[in-house]
Amino acid sequence: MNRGLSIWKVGSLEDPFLNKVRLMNGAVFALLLLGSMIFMPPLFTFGVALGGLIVLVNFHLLYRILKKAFIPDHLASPKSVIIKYYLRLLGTGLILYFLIAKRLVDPLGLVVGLSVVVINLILLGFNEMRKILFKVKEAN
Amino acid sequence: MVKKVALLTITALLSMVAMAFAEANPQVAAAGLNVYYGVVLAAGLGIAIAALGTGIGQGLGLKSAVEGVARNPEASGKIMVTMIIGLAMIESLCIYALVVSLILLYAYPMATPIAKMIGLPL
Repeated sequence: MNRGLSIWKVGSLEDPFLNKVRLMNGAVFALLLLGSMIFMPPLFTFGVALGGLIVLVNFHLLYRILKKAFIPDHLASPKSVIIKYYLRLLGTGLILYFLIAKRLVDPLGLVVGLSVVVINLILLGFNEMRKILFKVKEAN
Repeated sequence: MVKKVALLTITALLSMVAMAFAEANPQVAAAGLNVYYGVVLAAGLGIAIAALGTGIGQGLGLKSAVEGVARNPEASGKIMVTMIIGLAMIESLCIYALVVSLILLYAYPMATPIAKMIGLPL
């Protein structure tokens, strides 16, 4: 029970790194949305907004599904985990299909919106690399 | 059985497209079909290769995560966080490929210029 609780804490909102990732996801999304609202046409902005929302919801669902698969004492059955995982992918695919096939958004804006998490993780990666490099320099 | 049905469906679809193009000038029909084949092939191969790479990448990541948790169960929380971030990063590549394939099939920006170039009716 104790081990389960500790894992719950590490893997939940109390985990500082995951919190940072989520916060930065929102910040990058807001920045991209603001930039496209100012400089780009409305269809492009709509694409950025929907793409960002899709990828943020996807990230949140991925976290929730895998959390249930990994926490002892509250383990979900493997069948339900796999079904939810594929339902998430199917939902994403269908939404993207409708958005592109019905020309509801600018595809380029959609790609920019879908890049929110990737941009954020690259920035965080560079930040961590910078910290490591500075530590090495200070040690020398 | 499923493979046969899929093959028959694809053949029927392609022959229908060929018949539709053949009603116009045969040379234009051939050029139009070539473009159509190219686009469909690019979309199909694109998403197939992306899915293959994503599957291999996610499988390797998951394998290492499970091994890590088996060796050190106390670290499973941290391993899970890292794994989720890695999986999201890998998965986004496949989503990009899906978007590119869907754009090729339904919103190809060069469709109109190519159709004009080969003389297809718009």
